[in-house]
Amino acid sequence: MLPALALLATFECNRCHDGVGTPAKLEKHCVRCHGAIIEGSWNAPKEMMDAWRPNLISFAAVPSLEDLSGFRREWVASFLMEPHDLRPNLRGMMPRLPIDEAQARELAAHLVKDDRSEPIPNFDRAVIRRGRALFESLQCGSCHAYSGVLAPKTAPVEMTEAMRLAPDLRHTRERLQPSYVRTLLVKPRSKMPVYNLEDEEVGALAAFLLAEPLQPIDETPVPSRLPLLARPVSFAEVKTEIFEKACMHCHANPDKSFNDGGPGNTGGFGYKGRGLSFMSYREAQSGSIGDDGERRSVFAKQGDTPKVIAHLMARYEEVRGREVPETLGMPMGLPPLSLEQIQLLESWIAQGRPQ
Amino acid sequence: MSKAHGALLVFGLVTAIPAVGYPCRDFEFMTESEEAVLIVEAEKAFEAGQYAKVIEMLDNGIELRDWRRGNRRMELVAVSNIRTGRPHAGIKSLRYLLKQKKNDPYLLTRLAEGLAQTKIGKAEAMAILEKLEKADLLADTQGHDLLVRLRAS
Repeated sequence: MLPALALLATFECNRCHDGVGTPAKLEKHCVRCHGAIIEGSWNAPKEMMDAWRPNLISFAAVPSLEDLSGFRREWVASFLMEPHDLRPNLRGMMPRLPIDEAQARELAAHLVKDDRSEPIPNFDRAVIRRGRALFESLQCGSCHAYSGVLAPKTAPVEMTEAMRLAPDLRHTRERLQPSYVRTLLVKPRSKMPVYNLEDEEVGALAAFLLAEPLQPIDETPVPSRLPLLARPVSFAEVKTEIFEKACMHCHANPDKSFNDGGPGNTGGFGYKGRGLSFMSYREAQSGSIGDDGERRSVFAKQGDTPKVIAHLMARYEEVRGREVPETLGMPMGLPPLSLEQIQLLESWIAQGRPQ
Repeated sequence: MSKAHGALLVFGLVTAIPAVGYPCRDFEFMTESEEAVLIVEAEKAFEAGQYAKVIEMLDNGIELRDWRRGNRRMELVAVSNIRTGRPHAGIKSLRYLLKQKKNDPYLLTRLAEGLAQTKIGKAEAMAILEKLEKADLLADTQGHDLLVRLRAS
């Protein structure tokens, strides 16, 4: 098995996270590069950055992985294997990696040096109630979701980095050691405000976060694909509405991007290069390279579904915590495309992919 | 423009300030590297069907610093040669590029386009296009049209 440092490099954790060794170069760093465009400090004409900025809602912030000493190693390993939407205010989320259990455990052991596993104390019901009252009076729910406990809120339009990074507190008890929850309430690790809480208040809030009974989350069913459009769909429309918005960042042409065609072309995040680009008609037509080295069309049908559509629909399953075997959900690490976008692409495919 | 002036211009282009890397998308249209600008302009001319202009712009023998741009130039010149009635030069270059980009459907489609113009290449052109068609990898409508013509001939 590879040592942890090699695994960090293989899975390119430094494309997004700090605290995992040398950061990736700016142009390979998803968060810093987007941040530079948002700030206007990137090496591009101002008018172009002004045009891109409103679209930069993905990868605007990411937690540092430096010092995860209060985390539960077991949870980190399971999250690496089965990432889920931990931070509902953040559009991007941890991508699904080609990682096995041994590798996940090795990485978790590297990131969480301390292997203690504190049990959750037995809290008095009155203390938990007191914690809930404090949670509400301090308006913690204006940033944090607590699904299964509190009704979901609409995300605010203007969000600070702290709001974006605020985790869903449903996962606190499995993510963090109880003593670390108390520590964070006194001295937040991120940009969460400091509330100068009394010891009793810290204890009550920790009790609410660690022991409030969790209700099952109502899962919305995976929606059905929309019927094909009767109107003609052009490649230009598909390119503008889908390929440029969702695909080209990871499936680019390395000849036009300094040898790095992104994870879906030249490889990355531990995935082999598949040579797939959506930057032009000819590139989309050229398919992707399989394990046997042969190219195959991404529009070929799997049953009654074109392969590319199967990948887009698989993302709906992934965000519900279910992996589709052999079909990686796309776009990786982002919410599913809208059904209307998928309908547009599928209609273009059904119409013979007009050029 | 004289050859000497052309060489000077290209020397100036290839020694221009290197562009920053843009891994996400095609940002070469905004790069500071004039070497990239030259290729982008040639690609526009190619898209407009100005194949003689493409050859004039690029077929000058000067080595571009970025090998990938060198490959793009070779491809543009090769296909432009094929489309201006000089298939043999184009075929040779495309075969060379296909050693690097094995089984690239676009290059194979263009190779077939060149082969179809030669006396001895039609069968190979047909075989290439039929294989691509079977895999649903024909690069474009020109490839489809050529296959139809070859089957009819």
